Amino acid sequence: MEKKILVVDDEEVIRNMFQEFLSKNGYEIRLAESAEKALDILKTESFMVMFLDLKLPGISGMELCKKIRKDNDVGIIYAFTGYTDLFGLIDCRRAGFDDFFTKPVKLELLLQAAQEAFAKLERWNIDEYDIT
Amino acid sequence: MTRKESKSKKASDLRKRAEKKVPKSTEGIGDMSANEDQKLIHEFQDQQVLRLQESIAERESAEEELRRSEKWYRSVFENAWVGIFQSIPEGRFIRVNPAVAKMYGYDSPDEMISTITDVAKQHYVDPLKRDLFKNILDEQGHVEDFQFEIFRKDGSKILISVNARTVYDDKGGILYYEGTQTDITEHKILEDMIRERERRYRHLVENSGDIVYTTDLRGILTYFNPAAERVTGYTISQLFGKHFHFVVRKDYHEQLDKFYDKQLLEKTPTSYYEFPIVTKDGKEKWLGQQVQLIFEQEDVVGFQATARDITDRLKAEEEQHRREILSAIVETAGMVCHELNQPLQVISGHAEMLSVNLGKEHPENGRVNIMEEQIARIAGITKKLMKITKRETRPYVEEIKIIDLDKSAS
Repeated sequence: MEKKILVVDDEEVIRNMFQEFLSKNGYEIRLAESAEKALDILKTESFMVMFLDLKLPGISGMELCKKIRKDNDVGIIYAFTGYTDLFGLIDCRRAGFDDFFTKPVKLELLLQAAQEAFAKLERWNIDEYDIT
Repeated sequence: MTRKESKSKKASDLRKRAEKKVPKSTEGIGDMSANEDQKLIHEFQDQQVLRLQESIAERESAEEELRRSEKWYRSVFENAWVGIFQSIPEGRFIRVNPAVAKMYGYDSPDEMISTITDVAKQHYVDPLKRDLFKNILDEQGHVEDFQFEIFRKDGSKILISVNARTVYDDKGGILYYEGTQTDITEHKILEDMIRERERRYRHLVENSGDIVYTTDLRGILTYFNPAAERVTGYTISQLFGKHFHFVVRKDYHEQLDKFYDKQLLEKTPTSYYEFPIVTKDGKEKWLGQQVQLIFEQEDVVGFQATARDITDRLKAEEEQHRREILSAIVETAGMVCHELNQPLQVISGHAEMLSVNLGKEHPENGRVNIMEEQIARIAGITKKLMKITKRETRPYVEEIKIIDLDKSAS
C-alpha cells in the first residue's frame, strides 16, 4: 500500500512543517491550501489517510470531509483545529472524521496517528479490494 | 301714536265736549225755549253716539289684542319643535301640534287625532305605562320626565319624555291632560353609549394587570385600582390617603421627587420612570411608571399614573445581558485560541523537530526543553479558554477585574 497522506491547511508554514516531518518518517505527502484544491487533487489521486484543518477559507474542513466521505467510506480522515469544544467533537464525528487533534499538537502524536491509520488499513487488507 | 291710542284719544275728546254742554241738573229746563230744547236734545244724542263710538273703539282694540295674542300662541303651538298635546284619560288626543304628529309618524295633527282612539293600545310599547302615567297625574296633578316607548305609525320604536299636568273643571273633575313631549331616543342612545363606555373604561381599569392610580399635587394617593393591591400586597385601607412614597424603596424617594417636580414645573404631559418598591411582605419589585399630569383648565391639579411590574422583565433582560456577555467572552476566547494556536503549532512543531535533530545529549537541548515547556503552558491556557462556560472574575490591578480562567472554565 502506498503510504500517501493528504494534508490540507491554509497556513503554508504549517503545511511545510507537516510535510517535512512526515516525509522524514517515510510518508509521501501531498499538500493543499484549501478544500477546493484538495477536491481537485482527489479527482486524480486516491488517498487513504488525510489530515484536514477545520478552519479553511471557502469550503470548511467539515464540509470537505463530508464530500470525501461520499466516495470514500474506508479512508482514515483526521481533523485538526485551533479551537473546538464538545459540540465540535460531535460535529466532527458526524461529518465522518475518525479522530481530531487540537493545535498545538505534538508531531510525534500525528506520526503515531498516521502509523496507526496505515496499520489499520493493512489489517483490513484493503489492497485486496479495488477501493483505493 | 298707535292706531289704538289714536282711537282712544278721539273718543275721549268727544266725551269732554259733550259733557261741557249738557247741564248737570234739570233745573231751569222749563225756562228754555223749544229751540234750545231741541238743541240740547241733539247735543245729548251726539254725546251718546260719541260714547257708543268710544265703546266700540275700545272693544275693537281689545279684540285686536286678543287676535294678536291668539296668533302668537298659535304660531308657537304650530311651530314648536317640542310636542304639545292635550289628551283625555280615555286615551284620545283632543289637540296636538305638528311636532307631536310628526313624532308619532302622522302627516298632520288632524290625522293623528282622528286615528287614535286609545293611545295605550295603538301606540304604547308597554300599555301598562299609560296606566302608570294616568295614576301619577290623577294623584299628583303633574308628572315630569315620564319616559316610555311608543310605536310610531310605521312600527318603528322611539323613546318619549313627557311633562304634563291635569286640567280640572270647576267641580274638580278631570277635563284633560296637557303638556309637552320630546323624542329622546337619540339622547338616550347617546346616554347609553356614554354609560357603556364609562363601564368599559372602569372594567378595563379595574381589571388591568397594570397599576392605575391618581395622586393630588402632594403625591397623596386619591385613587388606585385592584392591581395596586395585588402588586404591593397592601389593602385599600392601608394604601388610601398615603403618599406614594409609602411603597417606594427609600433610597429612591429623593430622585423620584426631583423627577416629578421637574415634570410639574415644565408641565411635561407624560413621563416614564423605573424604580423599586418594597411590598408588604418585604420583597423588592420594580415598576415601570408612566405619569400624566391632570389638568383642570390650565392648572395642574394632580398626577395620574400607570405602573407595570417589570421585575420579571428586568430579570430577563439581566439574564439576557449576562448571556450576551458570556457569549462575547466565549467568542473572544475562540478567536484567541484559533489565532494563538496556529503560531503555537508552528513553534511547537519546529521545537520538536529541533530537539530530535539535536539529539537528547546535545547541550542546547535543555533550551529546547524549556521552550517546549512554555509552549505546553500556553497550550494549557488556550485549552482552558476553549472550556469557558461561565463568567467568573477576579481582581487584577486596583478596580480592574479579569476573567478567572480556572473558575470560568470549570
